[in-house]
Amino acid sequence: MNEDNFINFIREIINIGIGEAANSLSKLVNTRVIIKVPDIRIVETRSIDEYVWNEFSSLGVYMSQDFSGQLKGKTLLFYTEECSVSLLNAIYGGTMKTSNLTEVGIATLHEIGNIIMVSCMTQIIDFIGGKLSFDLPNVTVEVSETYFKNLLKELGKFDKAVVVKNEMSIKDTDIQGYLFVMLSFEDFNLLLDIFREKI
Amino acid sequence: MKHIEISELGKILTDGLALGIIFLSKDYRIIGWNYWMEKHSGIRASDIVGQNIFDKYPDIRKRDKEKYITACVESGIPFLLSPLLHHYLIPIDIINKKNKTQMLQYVRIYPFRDHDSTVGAVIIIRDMTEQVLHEKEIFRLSRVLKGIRDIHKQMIGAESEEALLAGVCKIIVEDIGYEFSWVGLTEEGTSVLRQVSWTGDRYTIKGLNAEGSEAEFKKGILGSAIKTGKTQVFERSQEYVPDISRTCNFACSLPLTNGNHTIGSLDIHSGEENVFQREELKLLEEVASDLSFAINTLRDRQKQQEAEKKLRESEERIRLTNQLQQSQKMEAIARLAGGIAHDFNNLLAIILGNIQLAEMDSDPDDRIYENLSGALQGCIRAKHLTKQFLTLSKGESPVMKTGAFGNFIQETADLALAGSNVSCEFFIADNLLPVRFDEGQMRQVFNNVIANACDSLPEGGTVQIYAENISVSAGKPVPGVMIQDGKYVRIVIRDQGIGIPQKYLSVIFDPYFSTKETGIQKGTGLGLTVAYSILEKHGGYIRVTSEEGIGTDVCIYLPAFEPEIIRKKREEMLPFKGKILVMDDEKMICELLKKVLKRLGYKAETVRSGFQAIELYKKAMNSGDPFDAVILDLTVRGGMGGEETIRKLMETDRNVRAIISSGYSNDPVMRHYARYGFRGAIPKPCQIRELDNALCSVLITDNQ
Repeated sequence: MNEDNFINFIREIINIGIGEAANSLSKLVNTRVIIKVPDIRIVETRSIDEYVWNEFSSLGVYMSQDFSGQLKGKTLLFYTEECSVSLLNAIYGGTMKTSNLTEVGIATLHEIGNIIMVSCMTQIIDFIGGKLSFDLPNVTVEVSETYFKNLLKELGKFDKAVVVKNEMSIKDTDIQGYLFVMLSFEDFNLLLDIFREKI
Repeated sequence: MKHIEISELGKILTDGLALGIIFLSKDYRIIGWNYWMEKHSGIRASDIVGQNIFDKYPDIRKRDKEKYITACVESGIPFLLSPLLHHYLIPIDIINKKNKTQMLQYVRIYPFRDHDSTVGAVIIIRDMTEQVLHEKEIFRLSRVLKGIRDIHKQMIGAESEEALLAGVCKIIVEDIGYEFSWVGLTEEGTSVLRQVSWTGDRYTIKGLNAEGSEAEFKKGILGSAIKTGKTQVFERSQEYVPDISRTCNFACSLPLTNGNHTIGSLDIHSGEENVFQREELKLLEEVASDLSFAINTLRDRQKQQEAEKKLRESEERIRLTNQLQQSQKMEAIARLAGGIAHDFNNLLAIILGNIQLAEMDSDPDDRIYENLSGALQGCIRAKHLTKQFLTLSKGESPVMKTGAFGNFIQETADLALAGSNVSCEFFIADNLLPVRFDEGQMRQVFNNVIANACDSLPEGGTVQIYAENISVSAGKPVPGVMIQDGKYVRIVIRDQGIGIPQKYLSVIFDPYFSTKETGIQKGTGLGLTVAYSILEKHGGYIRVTSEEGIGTDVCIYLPAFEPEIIRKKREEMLPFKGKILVMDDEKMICELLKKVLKRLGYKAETVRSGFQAIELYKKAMNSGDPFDAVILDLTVRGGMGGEETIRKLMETDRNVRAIISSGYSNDPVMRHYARYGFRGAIPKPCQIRELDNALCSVLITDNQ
């Protein structure tokens, strides 16, 4: 299976996962939430830093969640700080309109991140017919560019990342984010093999 | 060294951290309930362990939160429940000052694994109540602070009380986020409160009397705020005001004060509980205090403006009254002076003639000849004096001519100052409009005024003369000057001399008033009196302002004449020149006028008597080709003159446009033609341009 075919498959699966996440969020916030996936690509983990800085220059908020089981890896969901604040304001409406991230806001982002990341990974694992365990996600609000760089250092054990660019629409607010699914070279190949077998 | 026991560490962590921890078995029975949970729920572990969590807390199922626990246990998926989206998982009451609320929780539900299978779940609860309330308060306070900044801007820019109150209510609701805001103001001298401005859900409050018979109002918190001048906070259980209680949950009444008096109330309503507390209430009290200050400032400013306006009007009225009195006084003096001068002149003529005859009969070498010459000189001076009196009187009408005034002013001033140690600077507008003036009389005005300026500069100096066009209308009057609307040429003669003491300014136009030494060479005390009289006859006005030690401004206003404009208007407005009826008993004059009018482009018909004029005018009217204007001779030998003819013509046509013509320029009908029904007067003989202008004015005025 070449990379293009892999991307087509993973796009299908991620789209289902993202759709589930949007559904859950819609029920939770009692308003229509749409999440689109305009782009999916595979990048080398070491070039994530370059990719991220080409896409957006401002500091951001990222949620990371480790998973283990049939596959072992890490998911990373990234929003710029402005997008995160817009997301919260869209959810809260006028009652808690804010211009920066507070502890209560971060708790909400935690929950949203958990929903999106778990939904996507659950679809993948359901497809390959295995089992995954998830750690609870961590939310980091960047006040220094070094935070993300330090996180990338931890990713040394992973080789490949599936980058899912996503656009969320809530109450006329559009928020753009990035979901990274990072796997080791072995797990990435395992995933390819399982896909090949399934086909 | 002893190892740390994991079970001991687990106990320390579960009990030591400020978190609620619940362990669940696969069949959802509570198998662990830490000290925090005991403390906050009031349920001891020994009493709850072994019970099914959904049976113990049916609220979890009722609020559809069961799925998170079951999905976690069955699928091993961890969940996070944030306080703003879920509020809580396990209902725990928080009681504060009799108010019961639910603890806001941040909940983590984590699968409890044994190898590959999930054997239960751990629920970790963090109390976020204070955090959420604190953040909400910060959000609200930030909005209140921003609102206060906007309200301050509103206060600075407000031009009226109404706009200020409307703006403040709007900011309170639309920017700060309260439900409803309104301002009530007490009527002056009473305790009746009237709602004057509001934003939000509308309900109007009729006049409420804090002291009157409306007992219910007095009991309510609004009435209490008005009465005590202290902020009152309303909550559901209390009385606000009748009729409003039903639609209001939480409100605060912030009194608006002026010193110790309550002038009204700013009332703010909220749908949220516990908002009118501590810092927020303090900030709102500051808003009310600033608003009170702004209202009082606006009221003071308005009072000051009204007082200033009244003062200005009063000063203006005094000035105009003085001007009217001056005018009446001058008229009386003129009448008296005219009468005396006329009789005195006749007597003087007899004396002068007889002295001249006696002088002719006497020998020049004789001593009596010398005496007669002295008497003759005295008579000549007396003649000069009576001439001035005649000028003062109405008897001597000015001989008007239209011309540019700028050159005239310069020539006259230069001549008046020739040989003196005073020079003159001119600031004359290039576009200065022409005026109609009697050259001799106007020269007399300037000579008198400039002579006064010279006298105020004993050491020499410079007199400045300004001339410009001005326009006077009802909306643009000249302060202190009572002149009709229209265009004027204003001439200002300014000196920086000794000035006139304030006490003399009201009498400077009186005859024989002078601060100079009296006598022929120094001053007669008639200079400004004569100037006043002449300018009045020209339809103008003279005003003197002066400050001792600073200088004097003499302002002269003369009606501007715009013949070119009028002619142009006529050409624009009248496609035809007009049909004119001329009545004059002199055949030659009739023929001459016919020719002249034809040359000017009019169609003219002539008659020799008033009777013929009436007949022809009626005939033309009935035929549908009426005359546009009529020129009537004042005096018709042996027949009906202009005065009687106009009366008869007006019986036929009230709007007849008639011009009186006569050689007797002093005849009352000529001088006060409008009183007799005429639209204009032309002297006889008159110049062609004068005739054209008179006709043109009559036709234009009527067509406008």
